[in-house]
Amino acid sequence: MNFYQKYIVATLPIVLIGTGALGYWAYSQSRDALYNSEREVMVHLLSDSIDHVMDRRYKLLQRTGLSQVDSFINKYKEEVFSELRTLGAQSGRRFIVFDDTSVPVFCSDCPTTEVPAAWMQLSAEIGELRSGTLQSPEDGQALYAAVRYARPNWNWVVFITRSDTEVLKQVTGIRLVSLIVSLASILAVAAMLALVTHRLLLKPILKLRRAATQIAAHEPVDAIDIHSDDELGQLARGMEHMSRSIREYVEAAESANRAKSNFLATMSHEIRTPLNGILGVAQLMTKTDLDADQRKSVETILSSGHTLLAIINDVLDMSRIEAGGIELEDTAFDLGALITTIASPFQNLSEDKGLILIISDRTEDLGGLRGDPVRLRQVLWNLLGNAVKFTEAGSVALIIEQLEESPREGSDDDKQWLRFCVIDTGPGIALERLPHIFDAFTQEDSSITRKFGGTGLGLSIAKQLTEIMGGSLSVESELNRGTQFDVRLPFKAASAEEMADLASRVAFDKAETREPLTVLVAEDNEVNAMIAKAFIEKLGHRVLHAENGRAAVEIVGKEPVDFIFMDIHMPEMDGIEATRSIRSLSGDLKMPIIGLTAEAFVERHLNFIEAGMNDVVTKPFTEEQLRDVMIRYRPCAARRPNLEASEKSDSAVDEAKTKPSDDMPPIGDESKLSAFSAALPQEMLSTLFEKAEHSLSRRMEDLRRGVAEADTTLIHEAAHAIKGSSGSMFGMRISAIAAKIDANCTDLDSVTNLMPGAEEAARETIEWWRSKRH
Amino acid sequence: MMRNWIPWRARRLTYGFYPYALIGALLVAIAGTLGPTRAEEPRHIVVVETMSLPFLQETTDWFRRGLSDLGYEEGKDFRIRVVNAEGKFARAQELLSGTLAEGHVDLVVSIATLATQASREILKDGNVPQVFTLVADPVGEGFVSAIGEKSGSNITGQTHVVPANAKLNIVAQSIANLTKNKPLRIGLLRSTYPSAISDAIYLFADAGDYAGIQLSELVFKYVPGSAGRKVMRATAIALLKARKGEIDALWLATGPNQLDTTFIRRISTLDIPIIYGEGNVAGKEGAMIGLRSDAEINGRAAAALARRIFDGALPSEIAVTRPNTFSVTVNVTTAQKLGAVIPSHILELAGENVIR
Repeated sequence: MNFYQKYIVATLPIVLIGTGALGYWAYSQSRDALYNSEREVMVHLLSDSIDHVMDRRYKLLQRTGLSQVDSFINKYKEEVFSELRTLGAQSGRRFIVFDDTSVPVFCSDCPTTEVPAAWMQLSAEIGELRSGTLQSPEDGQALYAAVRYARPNWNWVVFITRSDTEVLKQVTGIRLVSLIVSLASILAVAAMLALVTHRLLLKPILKLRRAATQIAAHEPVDAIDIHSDDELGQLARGMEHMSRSIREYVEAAESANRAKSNFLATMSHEIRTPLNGILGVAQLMTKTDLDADQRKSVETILSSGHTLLAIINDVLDMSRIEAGGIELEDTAFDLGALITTIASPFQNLSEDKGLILIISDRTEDLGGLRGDPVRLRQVLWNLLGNAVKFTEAGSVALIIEQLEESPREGSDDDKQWLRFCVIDTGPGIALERLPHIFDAFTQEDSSITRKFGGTGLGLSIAKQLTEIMGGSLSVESELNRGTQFDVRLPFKAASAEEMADLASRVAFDKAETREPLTVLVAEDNEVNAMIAKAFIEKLGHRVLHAENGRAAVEIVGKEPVDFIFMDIHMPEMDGIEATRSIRSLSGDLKMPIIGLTAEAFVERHLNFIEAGMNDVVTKPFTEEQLRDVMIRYRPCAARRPNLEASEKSDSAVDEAKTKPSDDMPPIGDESKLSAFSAALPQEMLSTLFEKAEHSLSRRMEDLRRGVAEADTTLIHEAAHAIKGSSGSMFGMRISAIAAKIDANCTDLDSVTNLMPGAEEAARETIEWWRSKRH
Repeated sequence: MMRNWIPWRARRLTYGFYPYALIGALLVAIAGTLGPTRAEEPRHIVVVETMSLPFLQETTDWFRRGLSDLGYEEGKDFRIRVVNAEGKFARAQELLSGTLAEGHVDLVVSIATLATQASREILKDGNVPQVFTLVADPVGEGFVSAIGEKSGSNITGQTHVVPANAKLNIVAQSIANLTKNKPLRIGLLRSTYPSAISDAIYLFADAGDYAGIQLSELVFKYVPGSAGRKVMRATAIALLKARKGEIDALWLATGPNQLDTTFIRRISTLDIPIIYGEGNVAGKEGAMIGLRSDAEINGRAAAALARRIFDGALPSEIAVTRPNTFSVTVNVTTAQKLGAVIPSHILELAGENVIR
């Protein structure tokens, strides 16, 4: 209900009551006036009747000497009654005549021959002309005028009466008129009120509301079209002033934010650049011959460096989120593969701490998804990391399942909602701390920071990323019992073409990473250049080095280059300018140019991409990051598989893969399953085994069909699913064979050779699961 | 036709009188201011009276006063010569012809039927205007096609007779209590005088509408002259005695006998209630109800017609009418004797003419 409606609702009763009261007052006044008027009319009518009907005849008889002649007297009395009857009918009133003994001798329109007793009693009291009201049981209330007409042979008491009902008939008319007039008044008053309210109140209020909306949307409001000097006008001036103040404040805040961003970018660059050198060198050093102390020192450097990098990344992420600078990817990805990459590192960590890590993916029927796998990975990584970090004993579980219905009303029907549940048996969180667990720079206990380290930003970032992705993150916890984080996220379904392309690219990636390319690294920092060169050469590629952008442009002009890593800040010519020059000079828009920068802000990265770079890798980079980006942006020519070379180079490996070796893992991991079983009720465990069996059978069917139809995509999807789901339920052997099939999914011969082992492993795994169900 | 008859006097006294009085006063005022259209020579008027009866002579007098009241001065503006036919047609013609031969005549006023008939014979082919009054049946006499119409010739005038239906109506109301079970047998006593004949014709024509009245005719021959009156008295008495058993009451028809006091007085001695008789004479002699237009009404009406003619109107353009005012006479003694109860409105109409 808007203001106008509220106003009408509030005002209408007042108008109704006011007008109704006025109408009632007018009605009662009219009724009283009508009663008085009726009495006067009756008095006049009675007087006239006495004079012109009775007295005239009496005098006539006297004048003509017939006053004692009975025949004339009786005849003239009949004439009197006849005239009174006519007069009564014409005037709508009743005449009643009593003789001097109060016996009724005439009633003009009595329904019966008997006159009500009340009138008879009253007639005895009548003398001079008078009027009044009589209440009789027979007739109800009636108004009357009466007079005694005392003449020889004519000794009468004459009444003229009218029932209250008859009088009120006229009042009914007045009431109707009053009602109509009142209603018309109400309508008129309401219309006038509406008009006045609309002009004086509503229009200005609507203008103010529009202005307030603009202000809320950070749009400037220079002038509000209200020119009155009243309160609303003053409010408008106030809002204009407020808008100016807000704009100035926002401009100041934006300026400060830009300064903060610049500061963070600068500091990030300045910190990351040397950190890149430290981590790169340390990483390289681990590949050299080191004694135990040296290795421990190098690993400490790496550990401390990664911690520092994580802190910087958290701070930068927080800055981005606060600045609204987070941009989500919308790309197809394989959820199973993503979960595997997340789970693998934590598997080792858990084992080191004596924890059981359970990954339960219950989304076998789910196809590929579209969304931001990087941010999803970040959220889950954070939650799993916390769980493993804080849990001293017991287990950590990641359960992924599909929600049947959207948890939010009005959300897109075409989106698939997934639930990621991270459960640990850690120390739990105190009830009073739970509401603040997602606040920035917050940990459950300050001692945690001292004990476990960290910035306290992880959960805050995870929650905000979840919400940015359109989902939610909630937590339930009990001290000394454990904690459960519940992530619910929507994803679009990826098309079959997108997933096929994804599988193909993965297959090619694995086949072609060792194809040698000529890679140009433009980097003025010698340490970073050395690290990049070492990483790239380690991947099997040839590296050219340019100390600045100008040198890079010259090299591109002289030598064939397949791939370029371009630092941004370089002397003589920076990376942006160099990229523009290479694009304009060579005209080659397909050559991958990847920026290398310590600037972590997305908005800066966009500037680099606009200059012509394909992508940006932030420092400090790892070997994996360089390898991934090279796979993603490798030149088209290089993506053509050199099947011969591939076959030759991989033949030995394939040989080993196709034959299940004796050192194949056992069918199942009994110890982990025991620990897992101890943590879950038997009923749930049986359900899990049943689902796992069902999933494995179905996926094996897919695998067989993929082999029969030479459908590498289907082989990949089936093998990948078997690897994940079976592994989650401790089916070690089938998981390992599925991993091999997945890795060689494009090589049908290899897959065919691996299939018998897979069939046998699958059968044995199912039997093993069945033995555990009871 | 006249069932819903409304008494003339009541009408005059209520809503009819004041407008006419006002208009009359205005006309008098205007006449007084402007004066009559005066010729250099006075107008020569010849009045032909049927016989020497006071009622006729009074009418002549009121004609004379009417002209004076209209602003005409006798001797200066008009001169009147009155001739009396003594009830004889030939005498009337002789007198009028002689007068016409003596000199110029501007207007002939004939009073009563006989004089009017005789005058008409002489004047019908000439251009001397004729105004008649006290003619009971101008239609029956052939002077005009109907009351309210114009003659189309040089004659106009006014009948004095009360409509038969009006008489029957007022009588019927007065005897209503006597005729609830059976009609009253009423004998209509009339002579063969023209106005009496026409009166009888009209009464019989309308009497059928009144169930309480059963009329029968008692006719005797009209004999002109003073000697004739004696003859008619004797004839009528004989007739009544002979048929007394056939009637309950007597109705005196219009005509010269109504003006003969002796005639009425002798009839009243026969112990037959006279239920209707015109004029005060009849009322005083016992007639229960009487309606008539008096000499003043008729004389003034003739004067008004004369003035219109003097002012230039042609008689052929002036409609023949009847007076709108009559006087009522009620004899309550006769009514009581008869057992009739006169309704109050009739008694009021009679006003001072209530006789005991």
